[in-house]
Parts: sequence; C-alpha cells; structure tokens
Amino acid sequence: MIWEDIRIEDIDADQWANFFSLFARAERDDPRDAASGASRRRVLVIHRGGTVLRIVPAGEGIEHHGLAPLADLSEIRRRVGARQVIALEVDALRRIMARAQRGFDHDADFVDQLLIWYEALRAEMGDGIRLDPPAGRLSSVNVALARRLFRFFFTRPQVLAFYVMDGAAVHSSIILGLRDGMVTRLTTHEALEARGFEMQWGLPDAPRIVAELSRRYAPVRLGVFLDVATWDRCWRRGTERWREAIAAGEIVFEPAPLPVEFVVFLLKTLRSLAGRN
Amino acid sequence: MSVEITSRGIRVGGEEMPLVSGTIHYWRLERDAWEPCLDRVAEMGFRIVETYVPWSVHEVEPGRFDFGETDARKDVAAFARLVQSKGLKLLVRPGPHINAEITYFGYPKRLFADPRLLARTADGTPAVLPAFPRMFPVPSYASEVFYDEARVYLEAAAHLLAPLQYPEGPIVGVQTDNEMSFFFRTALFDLDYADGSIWMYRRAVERRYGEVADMNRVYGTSFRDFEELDPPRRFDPDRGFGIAYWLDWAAHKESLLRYGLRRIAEILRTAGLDRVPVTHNFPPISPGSPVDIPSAERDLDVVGVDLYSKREDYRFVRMISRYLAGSSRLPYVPEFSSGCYLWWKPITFHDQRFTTWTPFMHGLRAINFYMIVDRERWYGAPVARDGRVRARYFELFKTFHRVLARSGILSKRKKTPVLVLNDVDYGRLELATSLLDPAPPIVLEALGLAEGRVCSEDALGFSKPIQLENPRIGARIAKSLDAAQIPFDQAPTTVDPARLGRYGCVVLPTFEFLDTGVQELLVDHAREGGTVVIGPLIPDRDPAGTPSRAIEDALEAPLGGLPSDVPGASGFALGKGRVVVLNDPDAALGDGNGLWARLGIDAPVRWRGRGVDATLFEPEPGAEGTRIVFIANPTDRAVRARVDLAGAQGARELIGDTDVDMKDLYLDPYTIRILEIAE
Repeated sequence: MIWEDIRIEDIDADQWANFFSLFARAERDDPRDAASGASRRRVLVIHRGGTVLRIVPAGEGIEHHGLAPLADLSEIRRRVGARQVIALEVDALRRIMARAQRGFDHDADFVDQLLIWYEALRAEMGDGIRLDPPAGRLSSVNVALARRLFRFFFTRPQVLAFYVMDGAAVHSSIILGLRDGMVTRLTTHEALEARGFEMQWGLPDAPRIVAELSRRYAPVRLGVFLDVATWDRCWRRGTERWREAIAAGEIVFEPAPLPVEFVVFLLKTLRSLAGRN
Repeated sequence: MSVEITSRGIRVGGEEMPLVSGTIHYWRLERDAWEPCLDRVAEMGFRIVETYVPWSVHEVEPGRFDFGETDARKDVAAFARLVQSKGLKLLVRPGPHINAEITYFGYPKRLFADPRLLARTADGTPAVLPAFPRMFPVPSYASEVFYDEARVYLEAAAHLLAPLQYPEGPIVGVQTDNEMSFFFRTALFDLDYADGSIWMYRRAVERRYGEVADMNRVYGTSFRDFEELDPPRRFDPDRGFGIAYWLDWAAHKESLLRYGLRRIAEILRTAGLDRVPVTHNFPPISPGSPVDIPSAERDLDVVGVDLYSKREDYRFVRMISRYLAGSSRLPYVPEFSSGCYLWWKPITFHDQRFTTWTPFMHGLRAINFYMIVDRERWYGAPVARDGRVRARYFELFKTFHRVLARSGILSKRKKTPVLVLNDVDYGRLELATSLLDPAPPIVLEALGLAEGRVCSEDALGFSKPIQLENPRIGARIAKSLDAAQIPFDQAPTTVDPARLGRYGCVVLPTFEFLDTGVQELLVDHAREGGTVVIGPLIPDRDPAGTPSRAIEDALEAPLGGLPSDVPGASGFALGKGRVVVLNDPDAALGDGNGLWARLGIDAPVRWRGRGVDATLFEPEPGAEGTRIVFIANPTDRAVRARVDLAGAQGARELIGDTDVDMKDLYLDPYTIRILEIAE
C-alpha cells in the first residue's frame, strides 16, 4: 500500500511543524488530565514474575521503588499519580522483537511489515504487557481486506488532499498521490506555491486548489479543507462536533462525495426540524 | 598527504581552512539544477560541499554501475568537476551504509536475500531495522561475504573518484560508512550474534586471557575451550557470572564497529582514495558504549557525532559538544540539522537559529550542515531543489559565515579548566544491566517512556549498584560545575593521555574496580602537577577482579586544610599535584561548600540571569585577537542578564552587529548572542 520508492518532497518546515502541533495541542489540553488529578501521563513498571524491578516515570528520569511485589496496578497508578500505568514483564520486549523478526518478510509491503510487529505486540497484551486503566483488546487487522479496498478505490492515478487553514494562509497540509493501490507521493501545498500558485482567500480557495492539484498531478478524489480553529474544537470534543462542523459548512469537501453531501443534507434537515437553524 | 585535518579545520595545500560544509545530493536534483544550487551555496559563504555516493543508486546489476552513462543525474564525476569550477571543495561519502532516507539505506535490496551477510540477534534471527518505507534486515560488519560485495562497489566508486582528489580535483575528504552503531540498535544483547562476530569475540577473549582456565576463573564459567565460549545473550545476574563476562562482550561490540570502519577505510584507500583524510560520523545518541570517539580516531583522521536537535534540546547539544571538545582532535558534527527528515520531531527555523550556534559555544570547531540544498524526503534547507532561495534560511547562513569569520573562534581557545571523564567499563556495565534490552534507548525515549538507560538495581556484589551510581554522580558533578559557572569538557577514559595536560583538573567518578591503565593515567596527571578528583571509592581491583591499587599506592601524605575541610572530601598529595577523593559526593558537592573555588578553579567569566549560560574564548597564547563571550538564554522566557569579565571595556554583539551593554543584556527566549570584547 506504500510504494517502495514513494516520493516525499516540497515540505515547508513551518507547516510540517504545524501539522504535528495539531495533535500535540490536542493532547496537551486533554481534559482527562485535570479530571483524574494525575500529575503524570504515563508510568512504566518493569517486573520479573510479579516482582517490581523499576518504576520509570515518563519524562522525569528514573525513580527507585525497590524490590516490591507487583501490587494492584490501579494502586500503583494512584500512588505515583499517573494517568496510565504500563506493566512490562522484563522479557516481554525480547519476545516481541523475536516474534516479529522471526516472521519478517523483506519483500513485503511496509503496511504488512508493520502488521507483523503489531501482531507480535498484540500477542503480549494482557500478559507481558498490562495496562491500567485496562485497554480494550487490540483487534486483529484485516490487511488483505484493506488492501483490496485500497486497490478498488485507488487503482487509477488520483490525489487526496487535506488542508488546514489559518485565515487566508495555509496552516498545514498533506497531499497524497495514489496509483495501483499504492501511496506513491506525499507532498504539501508548497508543491503548488513553489510553482506560482498563490492562496487568495483561505477556505474558499478549495475549488482552485483542487483544480490546480488535478492539473498538476491527477484528479482529486477527495479534498478536505477546514480552519485550524475548527480542527481544535472538533479534535478535542469528539464526534458530535465533527458532525456539526460538517453541517455548518466549516469543513469543506471538494469535490464533495455523494455520501457526505447526503449526510450534510440529513444533518441540516434534522437540525431544521429541531428548530436549531 | 597534501590535505590534512588540523585542530582548527582542514589544511588543503598550504591553506588551513575551516571544515565548514553543506550537503547536496547530486542524484536527487535535475542535472540543470546543479549549477544554480552550487551558486547559491557559494553565495551563502560555503567553501566546501559534501555528498553521499550511494551504492543502490549507482548499481544497475551486480558489478555494473551507472555513473552517468545512462542517467545524467548520476554523473558524480561531472558533479565534482562542476564543484571544482565553482571554486568549492568536496567531501564524499560512498557508504556503503548511507541512510539519507533512501529506501534500504543505500544497500542494494538483493543483499538481503543472502543469509550469510546478515547480522543476527541473540535469538539467531536476522535483525530487522524498522525503517520507512521498507524495513530490512541489516548486514553484519563481521561478514566477509558482506565485505566482498561492498568491495566491488567501493572500488568502482573509488577508481572514479581517486583522480578527482586534491590537487587535481576538488575532493578533500572521504567518509567511511555512516552512523556506525548497529543501525541504532545499541542494546548490548541485541546484535551481533552472526558467526563471524562470535568468531572474532572468541579470538579477542583468547588474546586477553591466554588460557581458558583463566577466562573461566574471571567469568565464573566452565567452558572447556574458547571454541565453546558462548557470548552472553541476556543480563542474568542470578547465574553468578563475573562482570568481566558482560564487559568483554561490550568491548567486543565496540571493537567490531571500529573493525567495520577500518575495513571500509582500507578498501577505499587501497582503491586510490589515499590522499585525503578519512572521516566518520557516529549517530546522534548519548556517547558511551558502543560509541567511542578516541578509539575510532586511532584508525581514522577525525570522527564526529551527528546532531538533529530542537532548541529545547540545549542541554543535549551542550553535552555532545563538550564530549567532542574533550575527545576529538577536531570537534566535529558531520551532520548538523539544516532542516530535517520527516520521521523525526519537526525542526523549525526558530530551532535552527538557536541551535546552530550552540555547539560552537561549547567547543565545536567543524560542522557539516545537512542538507544545504533541499531534496525529496527532506524539508527546511536554505536552497530549494530548483535553486530557489528560502530567504530566512539563506540569510541565516550568510550571517553564520560572516560571524564565524569575524569572531575567529575556530582559532581561539575556549577557557576550560576541567575535564570530566566517563569510565568506559562503568558505561559497559550500564549497558549490560539495562532492563529494557534488547530495545534501544532511542525507541523508548521517542515513545516518552524513559530517559536514558533503565538499569537493574542489582548491586552485583558491590557496595552499591555502580550502573546507577556512576551516571547519578556524574550528573551531580556536572550540575555542581555548571552552578559554579566553571566550563568543562567530557571524554571517555580511552582518551589520548596527552590531552589531559590541557586541563588543570580531571574528574572521574570511581568505584571498587577501575582498569589499571586508567588508574595510572590519573596518577600520571597528578604527578605532573594536576588535580585529580575521584570518588566515592578508591579502586582496589580491575574489572576482572584482580587486585589493582595504582591510585591508592601512589597517594602520599593527606593534605591539611583545602580541600580536606570540605565535608565529604579528603585530599592527598601526589607528586607535584594532588588527588581529591569525594568520599561522599553528595555532601562534598553541596551548593554551600564552594568545592571548586577552594580547589583554586575559577570561572573564567561570570554572569547573572535566570537559566542563562555563557562561555569565554580567548586567543591562543602568543596570538593576537579579541576575546569572545557567548551568552545563551536556553529558556522559553525572556531574561535580562549581565556579564562580568575582568578587563572588558565594552562589547559588540556580532550577530546583530551592534554595540551592547554587557551589564544589561536583554535576551529573548532561545537566543544566543556573541560578544566581541573591547579591552
């Protein structure tokens, strides 16, 4: 699903940093931290057969807690004031690496290679690796199905675009080129701007951007455009906000795929019926 | 050799020039972009450019290469001649490992199908590097099959490049391999358990102990002969092995890296690249086993450490710079981020504006900016792939070259009275006792799970766990020196003994065991008039457990007064110098004790300002020139600072090119100012 010689080019340094800040900002403001009273996000407890060898607060150096028996993980979490405790059996990493490397295939696609590591990790979850609060079981991933869908949707050359605007300027962007069921190109808006394309109005530029991308690379299958303030609001507050933003036209799909238009129509209709215009 | 590395740069013909360069990848640019890109590079002030010459790019089929015959972008000889025509010099890096974010790191994919040349994990499986966009099994640098394959390419490249060496051509340096570190998999019991590596390990152990009975006595093992010796495959303190069993495996892995560097360098030299210095770059990881610069420089001309850092990483950059200043004959960063690859934390212009000067502030003398011309799988270089200029970055580099020339810091001496040593055996023990082995620390740091190594608390028969106490006390010493505003360099105990004479004071945390050679190194330094600070214990044995009391036996009369009246410290005369033992380092290094001042070690420059840091450079003895003060605000808040320097009448800030009041300096967050002192 990822081309061996994928081209990654024309990346603007600031917007690349901005792209990561979209997620970092959301994590920093995570209300769960305040709600739980936790002073740390994550603590690693290394043990051998239940005997604690070390407790390692993330990002704050190493603490010694001596050779204590592995107590209830919730108790450790409360005691060290963390949001999450990861209990790691001392040989678990070795087992994960051994399992992944035994099953490795250097001819495989990167996604398949990742899956080998994922399955090796999954095999340790709940045993060599335990979490508190407990995480749901890691699901088995059907890569074969994903690949078939990828091939079905992205056989012909086409482009996916994701733009986050900051007023009339681009905050960050990701443009993917696809062909034969593979991601073959990763670039950003700089690929256009370097060749004379000038942003004029921000979000309303979406049709022009899509036309330019189609002219330069391949038809745009889907472009998603939104403002950074909308992103922040939706990313932090969850599914309902995304629906509202789509319905309010704050997230622009260009060209608008039929299912999305239908969803927007439905949401607008429902909102009208509810008297919330 | 008409080209040689000096302590200040590189001498080409009769001219000594700064080793300051920038990277450009010719094969990743359109051929007609070479010239405008090189013109822009020269306009910024660079006199040297650098490039990889990748195996996988040039190989058409085994033994047949395209050096421009088919694809004009691959004509490295034409590129070199164009570089020369622009009045520039060239450093070449033919690998075979190059990374460069190329799929398979520059190795032809076909290599991975041959199991004889692959590195092996402790479980015997090939070791996979989780790289994007394809993971691959890494080669073993103990495999003769690997060297046979690599030689074919390296000789072809070397034959092409040899006639382009200075003075006939622009090439003034060649690098052997890249970031040699078992592909960042530095955990002790991860790699390399390939047959060739185990054979070399057995031979090294045999040379060391001579008789298998002696080895068994030291290791606590019962092998019948050296061929039966199996290397340790995990840390298992309950089996009662002597620590030498772990340490010797770590030492073997270090020597395997040096062996790889040496073998590749020999191939290149034998094939004709023998008139220019050979260099190497270790990866951007904390120094310590398996990375050892002084030992690597015994085979190569200069060895550096790469840096890709954000402005918040000031302490890490400072630590690496101090280590290079204390260890290398030319403190050198062969890859310093000018932009970055995409699968690392984003490095912005603001990061670069701050970090570019940080290593120079702490003793760096040579640098290569990677990349100076943009390319695919990269962002943030000052020149785009088509030769367009990114104005902010372009001006940053023009200013950099202007200030570097004006300040003259490459020919000045950073006033540094103290060298802090890190014992390599204690470092090996730290590596051996990692509870997260075989995962390398870099992965856990990236996941935000741990900083540094997470070691066992097992004391292994010593009074305290040395693997925990050594880094803790080392950090305590560094903190104490920083608080006293005393600059210091760092080096491993493999350092060239002649370097110790540059420092009035040498500091090394010591415990029950210490290599006899290292003990003698410290004794010699004190005997010649230096101050040696050790502790908390005076060693009484070597790592094999054999009694060894070189320091204890050399100590003379206890010193009265200083520093013996410092709590937790005692002093002894030794020859013309002295040995100070920090029996209780926490007490002796307490803020109120003024240990360093009482040892007569003064800060060369004083400053005030919350979180601020400063260093002083002055002309070499007998040379003329001005003094230079670097002052940095590595915090996210603006501060007012003042600098007190005896004899200073005023100062001019060189980056902004304005006069400033040293008694009232306003420092924006994450800024460095470079003050030229008016006497």
